[in-house]
Amino acid sequence: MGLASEAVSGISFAGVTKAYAGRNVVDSVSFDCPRGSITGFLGPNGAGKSTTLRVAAGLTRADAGEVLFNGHRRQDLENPGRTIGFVLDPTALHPGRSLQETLKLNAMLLGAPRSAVENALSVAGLESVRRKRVGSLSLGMRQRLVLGMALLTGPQFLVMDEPTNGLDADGALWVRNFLKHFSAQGGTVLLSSHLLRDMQAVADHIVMIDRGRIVATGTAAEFSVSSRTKAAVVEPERLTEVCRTRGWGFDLSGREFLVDATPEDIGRACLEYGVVLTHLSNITESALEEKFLALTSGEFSSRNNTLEQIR
Amino acid sequence: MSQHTLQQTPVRNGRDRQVGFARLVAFEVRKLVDTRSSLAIFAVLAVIAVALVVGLAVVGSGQGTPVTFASLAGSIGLFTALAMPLIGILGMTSDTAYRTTLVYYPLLRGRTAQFWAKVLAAAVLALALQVFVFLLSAVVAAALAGAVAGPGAAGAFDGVGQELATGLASCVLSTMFGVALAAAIRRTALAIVAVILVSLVGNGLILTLLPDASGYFSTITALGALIGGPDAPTALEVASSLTLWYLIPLGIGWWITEKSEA
Repeated sequence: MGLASEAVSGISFAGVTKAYAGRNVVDSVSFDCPRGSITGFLGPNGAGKSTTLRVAAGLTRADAGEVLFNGHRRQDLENPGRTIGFVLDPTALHPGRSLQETLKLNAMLLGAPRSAVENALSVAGLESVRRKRVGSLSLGMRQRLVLGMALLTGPQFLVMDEPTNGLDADGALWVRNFLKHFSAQGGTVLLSSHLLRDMQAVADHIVMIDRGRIVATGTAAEFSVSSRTKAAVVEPERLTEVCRTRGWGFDLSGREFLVDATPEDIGRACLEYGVVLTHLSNITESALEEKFLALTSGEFSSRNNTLEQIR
Repeated sequence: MSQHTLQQTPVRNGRDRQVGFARLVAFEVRKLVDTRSSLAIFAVLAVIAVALVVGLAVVGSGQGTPVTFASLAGSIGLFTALAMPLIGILGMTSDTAYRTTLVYYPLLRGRTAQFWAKVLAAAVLALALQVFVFLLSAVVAAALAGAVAGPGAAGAFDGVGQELATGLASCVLSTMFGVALAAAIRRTALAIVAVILVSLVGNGLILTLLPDASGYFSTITALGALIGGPDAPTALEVASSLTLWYLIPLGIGWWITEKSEA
């Protein structure tokens, strides 16, 4: 079965469920990753992200549901390895092989030409260390290698689990730029991460998962729209008065406010009323984080632990 | 990582041909020999084979015993019987030991073909080692025959056909024994211990506890059938032994491979 049917473009998760010891770690997970876009799969540790991706990769068998690539199951594709690039676990490589040999093996299996290996080494920035053993590489270098392996055959889909984990700032930036370029060319990306910064930087769509269930989906814009401003003042009661006078909603914690107004409006009002500001910032960037914290508790969350509990 | 390389990975939309079984086997063979440790193992095995063949030839000619191809190749049968299962074990457990199943399983439509490709790859490599032993034995036998009685000395290659057939068949059997146990056990060290224990202790126990029925349960029944002679096992005994020590473990290994999480 080839790619004759292109009715459903992109990756579709349809009711994927997986239980371990009678407990659903992935529970009826359904969402789509549209073709030519980057879908961020966001969730705290243990939320079920990796298990969902392992189902997509055929490493774990779902108890129910299925994952479709352009309308086809992975196992029905003629050559899944050429169609889908998986970036799952950079530690799952044979430590005794050289980087070059690791890539050559994959190229041999998938029927990719030798030039693909050179290209992958170049793309991943690994040309100078091609003869090194995988076992001697840092996590970041292994991550680059796994990325190179995923890109060997120019896949249509990329399924990536924490691809920037272990990468330095330059490497992480490169990955983000690459993914944007890849999706702009029509490639479909599913990017799992718990790093909100990654998601904010590249994702077109966000899918949030917690305790195995999808808790929110939407475009990145929907997740980042916020008109709230964080303000800190010397005399909180005076800004409270200003907010009430202007009709702005607000939340107060100590001397810090979250105000439903723009920083510019607040700054002007404070100047007008003589309120001394010590901090003023737009929190648009952290809207995703707010939603993330509000919607996910995470099985292993420690955010409500007090110092006393820790002691 | 540089920006200019972004242009080098176009998104493809063409049809892709399925990975053929021959390519899978070649892939598995390459995986067996492309690391330093695996090359070291094969080098050690080759050195031991050379030492054994040369040593046997020297001792044999010193004692005035005719050194023939058959006597050399046959005398190192114990070595190959021990070495071949090791090759089978390494071939079957490498991916689970290094968790490289996470890399290779997603690339393929299913796991069955890769499982059988591993089986075949182990057999191919074991046969290669066996052929090396044969070539070595042939060279040494020819050299000694020439030195002792002049070129073309009679008898140096008597029974070569029988020896080749028996040697190659026992090579495959020994390898498959390691392959089968490793497929079911999936842990390199445990599989090695199991092969040694079953071969050295298990067979002895079976012979002691079931002297009349040992042929049905012994691991070496099929090997005995290859050698032949008056004590050769019956077809039923061979079938029973093959089922118990080859088919069942292989079946279990295949089932685990298909069903397990990678």
